Amino acid sequence: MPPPLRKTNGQGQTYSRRAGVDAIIDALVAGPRDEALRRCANADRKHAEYIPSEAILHFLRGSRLDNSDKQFELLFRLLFARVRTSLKGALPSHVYANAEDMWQSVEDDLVELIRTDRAEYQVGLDYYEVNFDSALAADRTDVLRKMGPRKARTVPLEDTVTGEIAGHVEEAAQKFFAQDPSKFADEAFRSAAYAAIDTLPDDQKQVVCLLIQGLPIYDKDPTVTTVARTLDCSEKTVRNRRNRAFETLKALLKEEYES
Amino acid sequence: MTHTHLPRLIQKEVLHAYSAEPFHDRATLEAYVARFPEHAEALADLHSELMLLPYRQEAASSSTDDAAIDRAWSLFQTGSILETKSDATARGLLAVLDPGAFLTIASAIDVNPLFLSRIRDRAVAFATIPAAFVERLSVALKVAVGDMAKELQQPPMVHAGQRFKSTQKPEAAAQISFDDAIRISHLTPEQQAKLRALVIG
Repeated sequence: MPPPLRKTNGQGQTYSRRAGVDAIIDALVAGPRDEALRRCANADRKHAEYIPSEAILHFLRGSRLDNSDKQFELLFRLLFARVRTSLKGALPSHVYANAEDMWQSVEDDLVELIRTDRAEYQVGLDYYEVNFDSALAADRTDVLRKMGPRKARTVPLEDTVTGEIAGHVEEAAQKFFAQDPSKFADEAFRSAAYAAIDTLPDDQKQVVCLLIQGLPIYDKDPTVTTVARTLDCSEKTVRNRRNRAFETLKALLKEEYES
Repeated sequence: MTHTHLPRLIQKEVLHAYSAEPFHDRATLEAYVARFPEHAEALADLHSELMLLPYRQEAASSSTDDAAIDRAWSLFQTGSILETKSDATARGLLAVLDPGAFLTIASAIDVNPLFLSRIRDRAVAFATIPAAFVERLSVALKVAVGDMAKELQQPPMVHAGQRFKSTQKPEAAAQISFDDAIRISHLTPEQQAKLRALVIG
């Protein structure tokens, strides 16, 4: 078994790697080093020999003990190739004018963490061994909130005369997001729906994801976590974003929606 | 859910803790939002990101990625990006500030000039400085957290005034802890309490 992680959560429990990662690390350690490096170079997630980034990071951290600078550089480059690919996909340059700056900011902080870990174990790096993709998602979220554009405000779908949201839109949107959970349990629908949701403006995306998770838009009980409270906005704003999102999703998911 | 007693954390720490949870379901999100209401929207953003991530197509690699990887490797080797490293960074992000700007930064992070001068001179051991303070300072100075942390890890500085007055080669004093710096810098009780709250137990 590879050495356990050292980072502890608020209750003093030590974090552990995801199921299966320890076994992959053990198998790679047991085999020839060249073979392990060859497999680490495979960036195709669907390939049977794909090595998760958590295992590459583990090797990277471990290589400081065997003084193999060449191996360290190779692993470092493989890992940062994956990091760059991930950043480009999640923070695309055609959406964010300063995407390159944000990519570099995330990369610089990770480099610094790895650099200092080389001299002295950095527990902060353990998060990336627990779940590399999720930790990187946290980095992206952090940098986007600090360096990204302000979220554009969704234009309401109100009737220009009455100021009310058209009843049929309100009803259809409510129905769509409150539909039978089995609909989202269907892999084909979920895959199409989530890909469509990912194209929405960030403020609508937030609302939609929280609604799908089952959070109510509003509740009189102040102890209930609602979409409006989480996003610190009014119930009406949430409804506007939801309705706008629904109109977009309905068009994008025409076939799935009608079925 | 595992984080019921986390102390006050900075945004990135909260997001990392959330990312390391085994499940990113409604119960986990609600627990984090209840525990860290000041980071609720950031958590909602990360929650969306983690939900949609598996369904996102990966970007194709390109030749420009090699340059980015070279850059990261160069940063690792040298501890700095030579092309972007400014003179200010080289001299010290706080040391180059004029007195007015120095006071502005002190005010922005709610400390007095004496405390900030101890930070500037690296008289405070980096290992004892809370990450939240480093981030707060980096935000006030508009620099990357990594650059700020890197500077604060440098050896203690002999301040210019001390260099000019000394007839012998001056040496920097031994570093003190963040907690000691809070105690001896004549901060108000409120300032001391705020700084101590940043220290993660």
